[in-house]
Amino acid sequence: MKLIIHDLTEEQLKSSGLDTLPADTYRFVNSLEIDRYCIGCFGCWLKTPGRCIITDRFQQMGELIAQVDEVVIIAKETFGSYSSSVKNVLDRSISYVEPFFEIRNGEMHHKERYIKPLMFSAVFYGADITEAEEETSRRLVQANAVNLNGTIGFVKFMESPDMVKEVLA
Amino acid sequence: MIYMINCSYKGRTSNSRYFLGLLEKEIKKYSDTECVVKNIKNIIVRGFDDFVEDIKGAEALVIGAPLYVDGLPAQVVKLLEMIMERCADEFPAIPVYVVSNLGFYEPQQIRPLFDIVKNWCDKIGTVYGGGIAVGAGPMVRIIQEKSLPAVLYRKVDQDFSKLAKAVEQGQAVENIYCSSAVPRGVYLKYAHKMFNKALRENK
Ligand SMILES: Cc1cc2nc3c(=O)[nH]c(=O)nc-3n(C[C@H](O)[C@H](O)[C@H](O)COP(=O)(O)O)c2cc1C
Repeated sequence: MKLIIHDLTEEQLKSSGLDTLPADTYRFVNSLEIDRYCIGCFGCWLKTPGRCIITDRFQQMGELIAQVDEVVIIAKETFGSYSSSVKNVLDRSISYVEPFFEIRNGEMHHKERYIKPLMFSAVFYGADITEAEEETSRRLVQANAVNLNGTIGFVKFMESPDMVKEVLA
Repeated sequence: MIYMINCSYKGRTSNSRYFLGLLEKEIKKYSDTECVVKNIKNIIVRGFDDFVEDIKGAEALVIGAPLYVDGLPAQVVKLLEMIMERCADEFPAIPVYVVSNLGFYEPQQIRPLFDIVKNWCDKIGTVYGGGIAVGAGPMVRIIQEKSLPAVLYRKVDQDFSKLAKAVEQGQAVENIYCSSAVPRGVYLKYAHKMFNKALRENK
């Protein structure tokens, strides 16, 4: 199972053909539906471990990620970051890992809560992506994959989300 | 006036606010330039127009933000998007600095966050002035607030002093990666003790 976290409108989902992907292989999280930011309380680590304390539909992002083999991000290229809405979903997903630290490859990271492999991939779209933005985005995706104790799948850049489906095929 | 934004949704109690305060204290040693600190929530939710007006009178902008999932917290990306979409033309060409802290020990893990702010500066046509990253930020704050031996955080103070001089003079500096003298293993054990205590208390 793959989890697609995206910032596409209904129209963009249709025009890209992503809405026809088989439901038994793909699950979707539409970041445009999120409207509460992480308040930095660590409640998802220390009060209700594994769950965000904000009771909206993004409360159980950690558990949702634990149910899939691959996370694919589809986000508007935003200065080398994911768009704010996609980043918000990721900020609200930190319960996927434990608060506890461990040293991996000489660097501090979080211990896994769910002992399982995870692939992490991203597609950035946008009309005027600069080389510097591309480099930053690659670095960001790489860091995310390492911190989730996963592996990197692919990082792609394209002008429009209409071309995303080819990458997923 | 130096315009500082506390970008943590924890507001006044946040580590970001604390480290902005350290910078402010150092700036005050060199000049009487006023430092204004605003919470990001107030800017992006209701005070954006006021922000756009106020920033026109500022000599520098300082973004105080924690590292979230290896990058800028979503609310900061939102602010950068809003500026880009709504007022990139009016935005003054003032230097933009970053004061950042993170939970992990190695301040170098902040790198994408600095780069994102720099890319944004390049796109809207303003100047990236450089940033400071404090590794194990929550611990550095505790050892300073508890006035533990200064030798543990002397380097942090020196680094903030260096950034303060640059901000005050409107000059750019290389990104500064700073840590306390507390060894990584000690920090890890201390943090685990705190996490376990909180988990027990919340049972
Ligand atoms: C949602 C979230 C994501 C975080 N991601 C990271 C991270 O990727 N790397 C890291 O070192 N610390 C991470 N942290 C820890 C914070 O950077 C650290 O606790 C910081 O001191 C918070 O600053 P504040 O009090 O100003 O919010 C994260 C914290 C939260 C709440």
